[in-house]
Amino acid sequence: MALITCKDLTLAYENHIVVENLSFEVNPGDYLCIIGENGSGKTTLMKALLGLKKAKHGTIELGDGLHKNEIGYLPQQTFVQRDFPASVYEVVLSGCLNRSGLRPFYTKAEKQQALENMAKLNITALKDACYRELSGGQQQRVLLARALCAHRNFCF
Amino acid sequence: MNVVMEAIRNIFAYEFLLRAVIVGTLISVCAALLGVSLVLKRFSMMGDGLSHIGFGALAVSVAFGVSSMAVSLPVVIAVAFLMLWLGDKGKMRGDALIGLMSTGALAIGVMVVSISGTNVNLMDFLFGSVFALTQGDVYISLCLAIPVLVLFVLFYHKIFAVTFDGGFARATGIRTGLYTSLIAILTAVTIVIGMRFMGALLISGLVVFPPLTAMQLCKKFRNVVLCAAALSGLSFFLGMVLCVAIPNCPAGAGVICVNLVLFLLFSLLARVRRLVAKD
Repeated sequence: MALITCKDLTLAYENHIVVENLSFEVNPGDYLCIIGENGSGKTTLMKALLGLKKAKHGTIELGDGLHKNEIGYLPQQTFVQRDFPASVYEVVLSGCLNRSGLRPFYTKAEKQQALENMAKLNITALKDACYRELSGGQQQRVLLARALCAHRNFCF
Repeated sequence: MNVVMEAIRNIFAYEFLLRAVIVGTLISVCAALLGVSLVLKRFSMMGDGLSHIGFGALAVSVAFGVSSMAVSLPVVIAVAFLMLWLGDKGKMRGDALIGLMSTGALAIGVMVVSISGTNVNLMDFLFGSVFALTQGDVYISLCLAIPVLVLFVLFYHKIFAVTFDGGFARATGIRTGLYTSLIAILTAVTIVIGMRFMGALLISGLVVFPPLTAMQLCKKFRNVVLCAAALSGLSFFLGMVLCVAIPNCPAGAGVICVNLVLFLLFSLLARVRRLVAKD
C-alpha cells in the first residue's frame, strides 16, 4: 500500500478553488516534486497533506504504517520567528518532540540525534547562536535540521 | 536605606503583609512564565482583555451576591479559549477582538456596580487592594498557582514548540490544540487571582513587562523564561517594599513602576552591549 493516497482531492481557499479532482499516490522511496505558478496551490496542497488544511472534497489517506508523528516538514518562515529568542540547539531539538508523548523532557538519544543532524548540515558551530540573529540561509538549515529530527518515515 | 530595611522587616513581621507578598510573588512568577509565550505569539494584550472580562464578571457576581471566584473563573476561562481559538483560526484580528471584549466588559461592569448601588469601592476593583487578602484567599491562590507552575514545567518543551512554530508542531503530530488550551486556562486562572491584588487595569503588566525585559538581554528561550520569572518575583517584592516604605503608595502601581524601571534598565544595558560588540 502507498504511504500517501489522494483521491479526487479538491482544495480551495476563501471559496476559490485552486486544485480540482487531484488523485495520486506516493510510495516508499518516491521523490515527488510539485511545480506550478504562483497561486496555483502548491502550498495549499502541502498544507492539506500535512493536515493543516481541510480538503473541500476527496480524501487523503496515510497508509503503510505511516503515522503523523513520523513526518518531517520544512516550512516557510513565519513572522513570529523573526524576533524569537531561541538558540539553534533549542529549535533543532524541538523537532524530536513529536514522539515524546506525555514525557516532559528529552532523552539522551534525542539530544544525540539533534547534535548529529546539526553536524550533517554543518551548523554545529552555531549551536548556541541566537536563531533570530542568523542569516536567512542559516535559519533555513536550522529548520531543515529540525525537520530531520522529526522525520522517521516521510519528509516534506 | 534605613527606611527600606525597616520596610523589609515590617513585611516579615506582619502576617497580612507576608500573606500579600507570598501570593503576589507566586502569581507574578506564573504570569511572567505564561507571558513569555503570549508575548511571542502576539497575544500581549490578552491579559488586559481577560482582566477586563474578569472585572465585568466580578461586578455582576457582587451585585447578585454570589461568590466572585465561582462566576469570574469559568467566564474568564471561556473567553480565553475563545480569544486564542478565534485568533489561531484567523477569523478575527486578535487585537480588534480584545479591544471589543475588554471595553464591553468594563462598561457592563461599571453599569452593574453603579446601578445596583452595591457598596463596593470601584478603585479597589480597578487598581487592586493587596491588603484585603484574607487567609482563605491565600489558600485559594496557592491551590491555583502551584498547579500553574507544575504544569508549565511539565509541558515546557511543548509550549516552546507550539509558540515557536505551531504549524510545524501540528504537521508533525503534536496536539497543538491541547497545549494552546492549556495556555489559555492557565492564563485565565492567573489573571483571575492576580486581579484581586493588582486590579483589573494593572494585572496585564505582570504578563507583558517581565518577558519583554528578559528578551532585551537573553537570547535563549530557556534563559528568557528563567530571567522573566526571576525578574517578576523580584519586582513584586521590591514593589511591596516601596509600598510599605512610602506612605499612601499604592501597591499594584508600585509593582508596575518597578517593572518599568527594570525594563528601561535592561534596554539600556542591551544598547550598551550592542555598542561594545560593534567596536
